[in-house]
Amino acid sequence: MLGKPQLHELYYYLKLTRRVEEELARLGREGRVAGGLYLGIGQEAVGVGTAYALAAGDLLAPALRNIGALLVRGVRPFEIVAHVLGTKSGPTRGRSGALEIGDLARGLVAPIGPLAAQVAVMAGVALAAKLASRPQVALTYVGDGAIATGDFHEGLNFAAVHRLPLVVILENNHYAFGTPTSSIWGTEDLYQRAPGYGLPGMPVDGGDVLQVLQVCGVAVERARAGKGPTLIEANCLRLAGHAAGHELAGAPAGEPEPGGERDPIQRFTTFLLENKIIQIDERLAVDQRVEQLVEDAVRLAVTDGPPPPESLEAGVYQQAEA
Amino acid sequence: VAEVTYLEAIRQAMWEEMERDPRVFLLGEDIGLYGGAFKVTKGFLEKFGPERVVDTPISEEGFTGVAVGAAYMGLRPIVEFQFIDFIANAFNMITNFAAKSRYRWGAGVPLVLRGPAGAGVRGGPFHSQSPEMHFVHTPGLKVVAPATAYDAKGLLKAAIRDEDPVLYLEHKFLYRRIKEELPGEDFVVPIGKAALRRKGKDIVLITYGAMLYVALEAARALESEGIELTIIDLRSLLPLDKEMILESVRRVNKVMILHEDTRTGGLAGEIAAILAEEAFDDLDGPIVRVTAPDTPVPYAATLEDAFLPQPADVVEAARRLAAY
Repeated sequence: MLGKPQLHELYYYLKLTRRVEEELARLGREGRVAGGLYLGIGQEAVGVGTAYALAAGDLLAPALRNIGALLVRGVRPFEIVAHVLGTKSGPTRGRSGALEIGDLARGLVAPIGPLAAQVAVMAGVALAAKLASRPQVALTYVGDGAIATGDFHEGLNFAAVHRLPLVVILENNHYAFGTPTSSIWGTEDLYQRAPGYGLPGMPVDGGDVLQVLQVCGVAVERARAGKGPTLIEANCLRLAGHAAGHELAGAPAGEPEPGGERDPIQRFTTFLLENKIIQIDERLAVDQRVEQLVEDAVRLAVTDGPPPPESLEAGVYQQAEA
Repeated sequence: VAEVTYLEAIRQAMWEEMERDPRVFLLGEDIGLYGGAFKVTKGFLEKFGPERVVDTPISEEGFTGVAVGAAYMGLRPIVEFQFIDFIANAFNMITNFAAKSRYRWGAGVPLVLRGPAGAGVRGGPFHSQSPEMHFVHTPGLKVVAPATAYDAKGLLKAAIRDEDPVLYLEHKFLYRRIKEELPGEDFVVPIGKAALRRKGKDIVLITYGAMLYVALEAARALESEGIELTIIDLRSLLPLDKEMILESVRRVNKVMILHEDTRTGGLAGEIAAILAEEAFDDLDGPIVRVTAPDTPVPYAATLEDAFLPQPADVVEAARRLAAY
């Protein structure tokens, strides 16, 4: 059972994720974001809850809307803002966009543009862990769009055959780019694909961070015990378009709004307050800490400056030793 | 010392590297229990065990991705494509994931991608291709194509020890058709270095892979006519040994480029552009390409023989160039 410090920490990460993304949206409106801006507003509980289930030494590859997962894994808000702005001190020094952030020293693998490719790559990470008899777990995300790819199938099948320590989080936000999932899938329960691979598939309310954490924790321990992969379908809300400035095509009237009763952060806040797990002044203190972090991150990133054009050609190959 | 076939040289390279370095392991279709479609990995499962000789589902994109992930974790995967034509299914993983990784976030991918390439065995459109240019056009990859058993062994060892992803094209026509004695001791052939196979004063012929033997046969025929060829075997297609190419053209001022890959967008065009930019003053004639035509590789013998450059095609082109 989680203690109060952990519950406060979950609140902190949820709030931090939301505030970083809101600031990114604002920077986008100000024209400071180099390219596309893909927000996970409404899906924070998925990234935060799943990453929180991992242990130090585990490996994680984010997808498109998992800023919360990166924050939990120790990526600083400055790194994320600088990455999205494409500045010179960002984690890829202006070379990659979206959420394509990786750092093997911190157990992070960067995905590529065509999402779901990282499912097979994380199966390889899990294979290496298994071959070395290291108790590491690999975790990654796919959306309801990306699971239509062969990459998802081939990666998951390989992991299943070799009973690899892999957890795949299927974030079903009900839109693939801008197309409703109902237009591209003949089934509603996507987790039901798992039994076809001989794997457990578990549905979870992706707006409930505690449920996400609990279910993911079971999958992580199962993987660590050598019992193989799990597919978790997190049913969640996407409260923003595919990219900033996009409309949610075909969204029915009355779709939920950020801050509404279906907002995962609102839900968790209500839970904490109603159960007296957090006091109002404690909550304010966390909020203030978040504001300070975000403000510092944005200030540093905005003044960081662009990568110099002279840095363009370095590092395509390992440099010959001088 | 016994003579070793091109195929045996590939086997030896992998066997010795797996004995030398516990990080090296194999992934591919039918490579374990079955021993490989061409038996390149026969006996590996028994020697190295299923942890290091991993039979995969038929899923080129998937198992290439698995290899990328394993490489991130410090292993040295060698991926076998049953026929190199099937690498098309792994194009995304190779060109988007493996090739761009170091540049984007500093994570090198020491990975070898190998498989039987090339035509001449009536394999038809899906078992005969020369896919090199899809990958030569991808920054972050290296591409090699050995023509001799010595290079087959030495280049594969160099590829396994390289810190970047290397596409290793083994020509299936050569598997059991050529053999030579190999040194008993460990050796590598450095990636990026071409080999001078013949010296002659009239024309520099630049080629690679199985076309080396077409070039050598043509050179023997031309000798009796008094036309002497210099023959450069590139061995490495990316990076190119520009130094040897330019140095040869400074001495011998007419150039022919021969490859079994198709014409448009083939490597000959790139080499011709380099020569036009950097050796214009050394050229005494047009840069001549002898290549396959812009068609798929056909199946029937008459068609495939017409598709592949023949010694007679090289002889005829050389006569015209020599007379220029």
